[in-house]
Amino acid sequence: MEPENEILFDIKGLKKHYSVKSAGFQSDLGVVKAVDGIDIQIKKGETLGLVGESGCGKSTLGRAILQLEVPDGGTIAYDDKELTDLYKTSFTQKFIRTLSLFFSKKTVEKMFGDNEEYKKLKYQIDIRKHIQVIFQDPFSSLNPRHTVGRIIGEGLMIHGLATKKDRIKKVRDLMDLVGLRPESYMSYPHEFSGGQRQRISVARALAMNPEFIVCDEPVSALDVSIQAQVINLLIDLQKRFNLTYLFISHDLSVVRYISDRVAVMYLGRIVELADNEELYNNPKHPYTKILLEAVPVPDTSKKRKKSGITGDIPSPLSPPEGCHFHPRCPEVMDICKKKVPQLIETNGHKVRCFLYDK
Amino acid sequence: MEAVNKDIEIEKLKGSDHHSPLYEGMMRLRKNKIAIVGLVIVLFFVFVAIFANFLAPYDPTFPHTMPDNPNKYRALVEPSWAESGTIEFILGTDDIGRDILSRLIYGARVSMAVGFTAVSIAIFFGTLAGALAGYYGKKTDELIMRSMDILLTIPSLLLAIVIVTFLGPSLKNAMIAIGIIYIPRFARIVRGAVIEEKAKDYVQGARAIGAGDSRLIFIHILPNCMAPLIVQGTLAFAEAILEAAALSFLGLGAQPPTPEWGAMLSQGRSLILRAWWVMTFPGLMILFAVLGFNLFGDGLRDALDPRLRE
Repeated sequence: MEPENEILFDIKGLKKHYSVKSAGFQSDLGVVKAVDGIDIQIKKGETLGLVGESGCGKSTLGRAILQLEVPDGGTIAYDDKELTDLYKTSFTQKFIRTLSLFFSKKTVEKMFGDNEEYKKLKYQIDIRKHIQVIFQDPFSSLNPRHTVGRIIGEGLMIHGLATKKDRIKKVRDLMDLVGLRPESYMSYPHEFSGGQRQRISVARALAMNPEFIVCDEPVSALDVSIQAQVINLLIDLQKRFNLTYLFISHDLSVVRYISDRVAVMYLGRIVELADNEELYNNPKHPYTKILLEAVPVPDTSKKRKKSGITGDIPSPLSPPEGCHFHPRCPEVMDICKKKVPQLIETNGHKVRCFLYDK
Repeated sequence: MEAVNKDIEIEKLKGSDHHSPLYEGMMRLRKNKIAIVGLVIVLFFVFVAIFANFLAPYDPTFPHTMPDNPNKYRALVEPSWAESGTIEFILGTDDIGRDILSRLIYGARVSMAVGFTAVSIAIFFGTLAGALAGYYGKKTDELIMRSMDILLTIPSLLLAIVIVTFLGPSLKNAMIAIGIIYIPRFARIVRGAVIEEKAKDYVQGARAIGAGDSRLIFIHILPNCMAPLIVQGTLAFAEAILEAAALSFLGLGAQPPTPEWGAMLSQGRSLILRAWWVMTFPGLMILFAVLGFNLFGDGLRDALDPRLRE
C-alpha cells in the first residue's frame, strides 16, 4: 500500500504568535503562542483528528494550513511545494493587490503578466482550489445575501472552471450529492436548518474537486442526531473522492469515529499523536488519559473514576514553564517544571512527556 | 429553532418566493406606522420634485406685473384665504411678484437634488474610505481614519462655508461641500461594519475558495453592510437639505433667482412683519421635508439594523 504513506502536508516547526495589545495605548500585554512549534505530517487519503480544549490553537493550525493566517515561523510543504514562501509579501505584491482593487483581472494580467511576484500571487490563489474548509458555525459561514446556488458555485466562477450553464448543472449535481434538494438552488441560507447549512458548506468545499479539506469542528454546533448524518456524509465523500481530512474537534467520540490518526494538542503544542485505536486503547500522556476518562459513557453500571482534571487551562499569555501541562498533571515530576519535553516516538506512537523519556 | 423551521416549512408549502434579508427588512418596515408616514412625506416630495413643471402654476422666476401697468410688480399679494388674497396666487407672491407656490414646488426639486447629490458623494467616498480602512487595517486604517477625524474636528457648517468660499458660492459647490463634510460619518459606519463582517466565517470561507480582495470587499462584505448605510443615508439626506438651506440662507448656496427654500427664507427675512407668508411657507417646507426623511430613516433603522431590533 504505497500511496497510503504518501505525505500530502509536511509541517515543520510551525509557529503562530499573536501579540496582545491593550486598547487605547497600544502597550504590549504579551504574546499568545497559539501555535508553538508544531511538527506534523498529513498523509494522503487519511483523516487526521486534532483534539484539544478550546484555545489550545487547533483552529489556528487549521487556518495556517488554509493560508488564512500567516505563520510566524516554520514551514508548510504541500505536495512537496513550499507554501510558506508565498507568505512573504513584497511591496510589489501589495502594489499589485491594490491595483487589482480598481482594475479588472485582464488589465492587471496585461500589466504584470511576466512579473515573478504576480505569478506568486496567482499561484497563491490557484492553490486554494485544492485546499478547502468547512467551518464550525453553520450560521455565519454562509453569506446571508447570496443564494445557495451562488455560494456553492462561487469557486467555479472565480477559477473559471465552468461556463455559466455548466456551473448551474454542476451545482445542482453537488447539491444532490450532499443530500440537498436541487430545487432549493435559489434559496437563501437562512431558510435552512443547521445540518442543511453544513451540507451547503460541504458542497461548496467539494465544488472544486479538492484534495484536502480542513473540517474545523464541522459538527460541534449541530444536534447529536444530525451530527451522525453529517459525519457519515463526510466519510462517504472521502471514499468516493479520495479526500484527505484534517478533522478538528473537541469531541473525542466524534474524532474516534472518523479519524485514522489522532493528535492531541495542549496550549499550542502537540502532546500525543498516534493511530486511532492505539491512542484510545493505550493513551500515554496524562492529559490524554484524563481527557478520555472525561468522555461520558452511556453505560451506567460502569463506575467512572472521578479523577478529572483539576484547575483551569492556564492563561495562554503566560503559559507555565517547562511542560505546559505540569500544574494540572497528576503525575508531575520535578523535571516537568523546568524543561520542555520532546516529542518521543515509539512504534509510531508519539508522546511529549518525561514519563516516557528514558 | 423548531418554530423557525416550522415557519420555513409552511412558507415552502405556500410556494412563496425566496426572500433576501433586505426584502424581509422592508416587510418589517411596513408594520411601522410612523415610518410609513415618513415614507409618504418622502414620496410626496419626490413626486413634487419630479413633476414640478406640471404641478407649478407659473414659472417660479417670473415676476408678475399689474395687468394695467407693466412697470409695477404685483408684489406681496396675500395668500388666497386672506382678505385681499386672490385665487391666482394660492400662497401669495413675494416682494417682486413671483408666485410663492410655484417657487416652493420648484424648490422641492432643488432640495431633492441637493440631498441626493450630497449624500451620493458622501456615500461613494465614505464607503470606499471606510471599506479600505476596515479591510486592510493597520497603517491604511490609521491614515484614512485620522484624516477623517481631522474633517470631523471642524464644525460641519463652518467647514462647508470654508469649502464653498474656496470653490465659489453656487448651488453645485454647496452640494459638493455638503457631500465632503458627510464623508467621515459614512467612513466610520462602513469601517465598523466591515471590521465586524470581515471576521465572519463566510468571508474566510470565500477567501479559502480563492476570492481576491476586491471580490471580498465589494461582493461579500459591503452588501452585508448596507443596512446601517441606508439608514444613515436617509438621515443624512434630511440634514443635507437643512445644511443646503442654511448655506443658501447665508448666500453661499443657491444664487437668486433659483427657487431654493433656504434662499427664500433669507429673502423674506426683512419682510417678516409686513408679509408673514413669504418666510413661513418655505420654512414649513423645510420642516416637513426634514421631518419626513427623519421619520423614514428612524423606521428603516428599526427594520434593518438587527442590533436595535426588539
